[in-house]
Amino acid sequence: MLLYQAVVVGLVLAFSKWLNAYGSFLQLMPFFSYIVLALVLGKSPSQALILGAAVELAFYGVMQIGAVLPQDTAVGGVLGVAFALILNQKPAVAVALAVPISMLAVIVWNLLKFWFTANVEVFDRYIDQRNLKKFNRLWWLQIAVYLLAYFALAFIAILLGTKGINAFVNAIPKPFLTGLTVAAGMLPAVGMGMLLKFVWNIEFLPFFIAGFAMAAYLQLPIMAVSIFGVVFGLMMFFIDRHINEVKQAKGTASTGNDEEDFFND
Amino acid sequence: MISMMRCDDRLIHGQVALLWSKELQLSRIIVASDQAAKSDIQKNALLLAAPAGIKVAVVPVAKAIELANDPRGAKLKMLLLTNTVANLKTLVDNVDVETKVDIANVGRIGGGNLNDKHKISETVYLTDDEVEAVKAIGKKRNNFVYQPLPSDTPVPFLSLLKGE
Amino acid sequence: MTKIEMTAQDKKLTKRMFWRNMFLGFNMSYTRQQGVAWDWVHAPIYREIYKDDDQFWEAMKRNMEFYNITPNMNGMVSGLALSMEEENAKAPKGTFDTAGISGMKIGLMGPMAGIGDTFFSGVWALIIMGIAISFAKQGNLIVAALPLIALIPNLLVRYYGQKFGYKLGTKYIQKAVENGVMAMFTKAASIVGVTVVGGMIATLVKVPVIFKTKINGTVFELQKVLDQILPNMLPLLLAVGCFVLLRKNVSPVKVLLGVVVLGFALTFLGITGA
Repeated sequence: MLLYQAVVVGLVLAFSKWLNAYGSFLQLMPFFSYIVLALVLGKSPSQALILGAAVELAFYGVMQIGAVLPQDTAVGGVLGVAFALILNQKPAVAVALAVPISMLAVIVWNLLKFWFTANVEVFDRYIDQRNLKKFNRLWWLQIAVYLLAYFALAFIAILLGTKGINAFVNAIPKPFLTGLTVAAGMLPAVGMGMLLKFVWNIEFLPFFIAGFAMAAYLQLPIMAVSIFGVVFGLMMFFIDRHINEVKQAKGTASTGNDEEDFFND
Repeated sequence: MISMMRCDDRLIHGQVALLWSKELQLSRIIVASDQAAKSDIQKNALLLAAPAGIKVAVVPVAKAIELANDPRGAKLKMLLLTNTVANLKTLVDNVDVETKVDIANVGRIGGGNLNDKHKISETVYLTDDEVEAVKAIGKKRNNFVYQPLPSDTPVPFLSLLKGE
Repeated sequence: MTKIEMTAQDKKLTKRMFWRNMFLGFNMSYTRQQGVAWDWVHAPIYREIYKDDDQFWEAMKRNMEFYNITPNMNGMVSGLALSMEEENAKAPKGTFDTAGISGMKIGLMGPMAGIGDTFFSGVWALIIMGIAISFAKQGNLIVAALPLIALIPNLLVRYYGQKFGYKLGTKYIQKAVENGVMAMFTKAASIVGVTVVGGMIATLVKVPVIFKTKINGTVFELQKVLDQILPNMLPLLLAVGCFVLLRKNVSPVKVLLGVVVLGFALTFLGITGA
């Protein structure tokens, strides 16, 4: 049983890491992996989504900018949810596992990248030798090793870790588990704070208040809040466009590349 | 007021547009590069990448020095961004503000065999001349660091030179 | 918008390039980032353009340089590069300055990554994940269908970026700068993001207060009192507190640990609970 679980979680993680690189799709669809995970483990997909939601909330605000991977959320998410599904644990446990795993897993990526870097010279050589066949072969070999590495990571983690984690989770005293649940519920605030920092501009304050009030007082679901967000965004877009047209008509429009205008607001 | 001087051979990319612009709460970015200022495509692309609410000037190094020293900028938070170590040295020599000087990404773009360069970090590769320029910058500036992302711990740049 | 004419050959090439470009994110290295991937993506395209073997390998060697962009944004650069490589192939050998191709790639990858990271990682992923999490939290399987919408901008930018880059060149970049459309668009998208974050704080951040006491015989429930002042007040204060600390450049890890410690402390004091 455990062997089967280790194999399928390994496959799901390899699939997730494929989506991570292929077209950058995973960024927008991590829940897809959690549903697949539940199906292959014979668990309830809804439960996987609830666990996944807690994990993704804790990861909210972690962004991959440039080539820097701050936390491997794909590995943390799949393994955290997988352990919690197998052991029938609460979302708080999934979060408590996913966050440290995501930080540790960056090591695997760094090792792979180190090997890819060593291979750059080999690729150069194949081009000098005009050998496209060998070039392509090494390309696919690297992808195969990349997928295999993550398969192996999940396979070993599930096979060797499940028992230990089970014992560990069961040994956690009840009050501590409650504290963990509360902390997991509060954790998303950090991600929200992070995102606000990235997009903040004092002009956005009214929209922030409106979004909060719609959910807090009107109890609107996020989908509805985001539709109103689109309405606000479009309104500002048309207002800005109008201002710009007026400016252009007056000949005072600034394209930004006029150095004389640089210090004016 | 210049909030930071940064050397980055990709100029305005995600690390600058999204992270540093918010970290430093910038309102202006001066891109100092003779070759970017000359190329219409690059200049336009840089202007297009300007984060919302931030004005960008893409100008030759000499003009950038003028803008950086202009008293009208005293109240604005500005980033002085350039793409080569040689440019950075010129800027440090001519813009006299005590501010953080950061070399983030340099040396991997624009050809040249990396084996002939000194590897300072994963993202910084310097030629012999550039090592000398860096040392000269280090003599002038105390706050001279290697820090690609705001979340990275700033490392004193000279401490990364090992026997170079 | 100007009508774009594509020959059968153009269509074949761009279709191939569109699908190969999905692989740009694989096999990144420290020294070249996506340099090797660029070559793998474009090898069959160069094969098609360059009938001359020497020219094909020259292009492969020339393009094996450092390259790094938000992969979703690469369509445009690929399209531009394709049109330039084609010009090179048509021109008599040695008359086209191939340094221009490299210059274009180097010049565009930074700014394009700036736009791409801001939009895709900074705004779009935030909105989509906000919606996805709120459905997933209820165990609603509709999230499985959400990628159908979520991936649309990703695919459109890839497809049209490539087509415009290939057929219109850099003219439309100039145009976009002149009418300031990109800045307005980013601002509008950020507004959507900020609204959603406001809503998410109210629905998804939880500070469950259980503290109860009897004062002069009447039961005093702290949560009820707080709700009367402002529903979801504590989640709001917590998130705004994190935002203020982060903006003051306190490191995210410290803030994260602080919140975890706070959660445990409040629970042990009997103020919060499950």
